[in-house]
Amino acid sequence: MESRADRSVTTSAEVELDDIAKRFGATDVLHGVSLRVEPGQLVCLLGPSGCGKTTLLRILAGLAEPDRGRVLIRGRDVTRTPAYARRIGLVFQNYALFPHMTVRDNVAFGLDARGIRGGTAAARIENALTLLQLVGLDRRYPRQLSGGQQQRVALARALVLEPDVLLLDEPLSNLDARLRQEVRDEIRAVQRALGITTVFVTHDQEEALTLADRIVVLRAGAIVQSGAPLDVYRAPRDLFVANFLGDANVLRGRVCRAGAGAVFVTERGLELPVDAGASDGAAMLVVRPEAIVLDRDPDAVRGLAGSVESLTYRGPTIDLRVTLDGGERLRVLETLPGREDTHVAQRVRVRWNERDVVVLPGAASG
Amino acid sequence: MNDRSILFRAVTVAIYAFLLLPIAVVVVASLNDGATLAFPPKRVSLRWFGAFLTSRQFIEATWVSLEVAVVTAIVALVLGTAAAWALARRAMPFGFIALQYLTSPLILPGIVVGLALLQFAARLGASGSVGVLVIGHTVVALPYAVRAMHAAFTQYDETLDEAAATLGARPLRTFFRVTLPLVKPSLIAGGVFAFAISFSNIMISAFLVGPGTTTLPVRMYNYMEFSNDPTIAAIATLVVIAMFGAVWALHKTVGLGGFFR
Amino acid sequence: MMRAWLLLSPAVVFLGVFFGVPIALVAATSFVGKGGVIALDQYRRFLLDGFYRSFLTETILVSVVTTAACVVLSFPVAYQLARARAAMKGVLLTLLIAPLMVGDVVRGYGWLIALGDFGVVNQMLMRLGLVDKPVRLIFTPTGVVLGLVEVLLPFMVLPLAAAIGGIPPALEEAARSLGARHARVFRKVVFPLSLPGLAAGVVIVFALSMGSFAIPLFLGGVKVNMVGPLIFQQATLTVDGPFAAAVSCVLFATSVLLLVAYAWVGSALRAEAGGR
Repeated sequence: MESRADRSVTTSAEVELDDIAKRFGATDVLHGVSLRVEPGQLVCLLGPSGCGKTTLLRILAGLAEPDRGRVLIRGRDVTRTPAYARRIGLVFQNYALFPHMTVRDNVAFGLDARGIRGGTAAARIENALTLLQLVGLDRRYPRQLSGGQQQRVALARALVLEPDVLLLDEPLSNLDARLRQEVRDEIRAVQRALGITTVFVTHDQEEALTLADRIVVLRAGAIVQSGAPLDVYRAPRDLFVANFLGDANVLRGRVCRAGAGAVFVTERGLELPVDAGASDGAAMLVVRPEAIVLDRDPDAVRGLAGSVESLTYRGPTIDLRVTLDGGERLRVLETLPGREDTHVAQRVRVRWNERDVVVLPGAASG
Repeated sequence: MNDRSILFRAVTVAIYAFLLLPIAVVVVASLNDGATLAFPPKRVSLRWFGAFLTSRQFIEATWVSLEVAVVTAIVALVLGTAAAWALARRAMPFGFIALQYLTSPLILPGIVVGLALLQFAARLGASGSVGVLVIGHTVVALPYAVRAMHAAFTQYDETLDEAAATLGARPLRTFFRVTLPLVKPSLIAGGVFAFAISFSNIMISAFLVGPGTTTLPVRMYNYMEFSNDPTIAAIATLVVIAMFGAVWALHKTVGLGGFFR
Repeated sequence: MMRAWLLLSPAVVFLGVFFGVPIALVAATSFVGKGGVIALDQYRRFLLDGFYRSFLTETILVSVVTTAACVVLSFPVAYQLARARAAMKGVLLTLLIAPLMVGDVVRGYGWLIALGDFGVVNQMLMRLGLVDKPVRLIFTPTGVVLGLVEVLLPFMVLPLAAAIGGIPPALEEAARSLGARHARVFRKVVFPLSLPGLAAGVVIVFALSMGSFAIPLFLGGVKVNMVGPLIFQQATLTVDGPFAAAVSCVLFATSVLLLVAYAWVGSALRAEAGGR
């Protein structure tokens, strides 16, 4: 195995997937996916069910073999290496704790498999248990633990082996809402403390946005966009990503040049100024509900005129449906304080900051 | 609960009574004091148990039966577990047919198996040996082992084995440290059942026994032909106690789920 | 995958060598006619001679009656077992499985005593006033049926109970809440959904009773002509290898036909159940 010093400058990635393709029966589940993960990064594979994200994870883990492509971990080609010979740790969605072993024995399992026993093993086990706050539970059996505790054991069991990469399959989906926040913070803290390269898979955009350093959005076996959560959220590259991460208001129309700048003309003829960089032709204007500003001043003149069609209180926020006079319908999200008097049929003016919209090329599809 | 439920339960109890009738009769008959079988016994004694324990022929036959049963159980379990694992865990072509094939001795007439092995062994000059008995019994016991283990492996959570692999365990270690312990109940149930099937077997044994390798059931049958005394009842009672005890112990330790398919 | 074949082969080969080959040899032997030539003599003898054919018909008759009785008797038991609480289930299963493990000799012997002229059954019948003098049960078809039903009942109960166990109790409760009485619930809900288990039980019990040996031998003696004891007698006493082989092959063929019919019916039932 190459040491860090041997590796050439270009291959600094901890994990590299190169043109991975996989077919199950008659279906192509992955169409040549390539991905690099830098050391210490927490990367999320995000996508709807059936997009291939779990298959990709399993290929990374060595539980499935790709039909084409290579898997490299720390520069070493492990494509044909079986799972037990790779230095990865995998936390399953159902935790897969060995029911006939205590917490301690579960954590010790991998060390035992490697021939690490006695004092050395005990020390490492203690560290792992302490890190995951499992001290005192070590003699219990999995069935005597709560869901959150079981997950911590699964994590400890994987981390005690100091793997090169940590993999997590839908880590928060089995937990109730209350627990999710706690566990999310714990995973983050542990990952940071150890600096371990981590890849996790989820279909939940909130999980992705809150946990990841980098989000990789997958759809139908291919990567559609990859980047920091904020970037992917604010600058989705297509409608699918815009809708999958957060909510999006979409106006269809075309971009036309107007002097030095550009104008977006909706289907109904509404003209909206857009960034000069937008290219001509059929386009979609995407603006997030929380980026829309509603001016309730009856004397206001700036912005598009419209009225409130419906509203829902969601505790700290109000969720409104506003219909513009031109007929377009928008979803708006506002914080509650100061806006308790909002009512249906209220006349408003809709404004937003140009920076907060995204213009996507092409006619709306999908 | 309504009336009908009571009637229903009464009927079920009656059927169970019917099911256990011959066994109950045998146990009561074994306590007979007289030399001929009288039912119900006029006087009670354990002398026939003593007759069994002091009979060299019967004790020898018991040893043969035990020996054969233990070996049969082991062979059936080893063969059956391996085959069941392959069929349950891998998508094998003709897998369904293979499963039917392996469990076919269950409903194909045991008597034909006995005859077939008798003629086969005779040709090879191996009739009357312990080996032939083991082989014959294993043919009949194998389906039970395969069925029990196949059900266990089908229900088994494969992610556990995958987890073991990601933790660095090679396939053999995974099998012995993770898989096997978790299918232990079925393994034990299958083994006990195979043992019992072999021990009590008359259909195959009747054809395959020879001088020096007579099993207990065959010896009992021969005895029944010319004698009417309750020794047989005593032996039968001991077998009943042993088997009921074994099943109850199974129930208390690993559970009887292994049979429930 | 290679590993899977390696694991599967020992069992398959074992059965092939010690089950398949011997059976093939028996089949071959059965075609040996008088004077050692290859002929259908033995089959002709078994199937055309009235005396021997009666063995086949009697065996079929006994098996049919036994299977029918098992079907009727096993429903209450299977239903109770399937719906029992955990504690009770263990007891019920023990009472069902332990007799299976005790063996035919023990049970046959028990029946021998019970069915005698002064055995338990007769004593009970007379005490209940149902008969004046003892009914002859030993060495009659009735006695054989009684014995076979008792021995084979668990084989019907277990698959049936497994099938009933798969019917969600909510279905029955729903039917009852719609006003159906017990008989109707049984006819419309329980019975149809338990058919796969019932089919399995019927095949097993019928096949086992066709090939039964110990019970017919003990309880039927020479008065009840069944195929199992016939084979044994021909093989060991009169040592007529070819004839015993022919009888065995006929018996074997009926069992194989049953297996095939079961597989065919079974898949049809499964397809229908899936569609429902």
